[in-house]
Amino acid sequence: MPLHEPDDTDPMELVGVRLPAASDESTRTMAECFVEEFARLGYDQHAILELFRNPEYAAAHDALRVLGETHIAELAEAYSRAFRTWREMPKAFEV
Amino acid sequence: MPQVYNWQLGRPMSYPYEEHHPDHQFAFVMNINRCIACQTCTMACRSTWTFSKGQEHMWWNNVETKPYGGYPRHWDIKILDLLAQTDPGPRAWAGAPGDDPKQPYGTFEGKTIFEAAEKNVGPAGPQRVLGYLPTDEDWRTPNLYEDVPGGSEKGVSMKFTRKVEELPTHSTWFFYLARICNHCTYPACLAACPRNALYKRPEDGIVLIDQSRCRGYRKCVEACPYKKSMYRPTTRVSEKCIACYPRIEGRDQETQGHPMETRCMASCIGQIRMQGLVKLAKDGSWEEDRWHPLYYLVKVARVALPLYPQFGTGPNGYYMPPRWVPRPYLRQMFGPGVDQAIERYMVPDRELLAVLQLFRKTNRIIYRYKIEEGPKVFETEIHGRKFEQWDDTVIGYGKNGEELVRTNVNEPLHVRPGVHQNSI
Repeated sequence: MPLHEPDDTDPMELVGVRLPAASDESTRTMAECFVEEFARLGYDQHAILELFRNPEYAAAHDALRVLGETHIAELAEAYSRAFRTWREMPKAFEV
Repeated sequence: MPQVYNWQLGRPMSYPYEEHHPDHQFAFVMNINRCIACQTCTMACRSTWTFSKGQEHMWWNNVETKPYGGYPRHWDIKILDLLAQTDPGPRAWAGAPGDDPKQPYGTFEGKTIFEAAEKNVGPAGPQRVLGYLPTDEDWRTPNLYEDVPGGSEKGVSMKFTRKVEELPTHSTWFFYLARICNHCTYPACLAACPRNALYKRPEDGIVLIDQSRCRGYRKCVEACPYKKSMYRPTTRVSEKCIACYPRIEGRDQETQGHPMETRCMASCIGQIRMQGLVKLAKDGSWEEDRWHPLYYLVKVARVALPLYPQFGTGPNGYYMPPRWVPRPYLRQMFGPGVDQAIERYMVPDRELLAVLQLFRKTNRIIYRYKIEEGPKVFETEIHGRKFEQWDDTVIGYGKNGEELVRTNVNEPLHVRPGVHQNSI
């Protein structure tokens, strides 16, 4: 946020505006997309849910806050089931 | 005004010049489902072409966050608004997307920027092209506040919120739109220039400004709906994306005479971009070239769509629309082919999966591909449909039929260890 109250008439005063969500439906579509992407990468349902709980993943975390953990968990379960036999997440190498 | 046929609109339209088309056309596809706005393309272009005095505002390639941003600021909203004022009708598409190559997206019933200009009469008569000149402020700040709406705490200098989850974020969808000049089939910049300084190269359709003819009237800046023509105050002439034509001509040392993709394409770490040259028929339509990857994506699979086709310039940049974005927004931006494109992208068939693997596997231009069938490795059901993955091999060939790249659909997955060489 700016130091002072923004002056709408000052062209040098650039102020970002937070837009309201269009609808829960668009958030749902976006969350589903995230879940599918990570399921395709080999994440299981627990790893996907953990990712949504992590505030560092801002958009995913925001979706969890809007839609609730139950909804995300259901999505994670459905997609990880669909891609269960696809690929296993390899274990990290020990150094 | 002469009539030309615009296949993206599915109808003839007015344009200041008669039909005249190059043998090949520079074209590209960007899969914006994959763009992460790393701006590597932007900096690759910048460090090659626009690093000099007077070019500070010239981002021939830029990546903007939609729907919040645009460069120059609000470029698309402003031209859409101008069109709506001049042509207040519904600006709708008739018919439905189908197999007819003359009308793949149906027929656009509104007015293009050329047709609307005829009604926009000022003291000097009607405009050639409906447009506007962006202000200095519009050019000033690419990307500012696009991803996050703010910085430090209100009323306190340089005090930033500590917790990540407390940082201000947009509360709805967004996506990244990478843009360069579309090297349009019916360029608005070319149509507007009173000096005939702009021209379309007959060999590849690249649109250039003849720097010795240009007098800096900025009519091209005003006319280009995508705002990819830019005025340089230090030389008092306008400049624009040149599609890295020395590379297209094969004059870059790296490829020893073979056509090479542009800097912005070659540097794409997200592998979202593919660029090439498509064969054109005399009437400007794409000649059937079934095993050309761009022909396949645009004309066969129809997963890649032109950016704002309703402007009427016939842009040669095609985009695979982001699947999570509300459809009305996408239909306005990419036309009525959006629903079909997303349906196909979400459950890709065998050939689409293979062609997508060709993105960024080589810096040389692919003219043809071939698929060698491999075993089925996976099947499941997603979005109510069956999805199968085959470990096919896809091969890309160059201009003279030489093999450029050979890759498999089934990719290995590598995970970097938690502790690695440059761990802090």
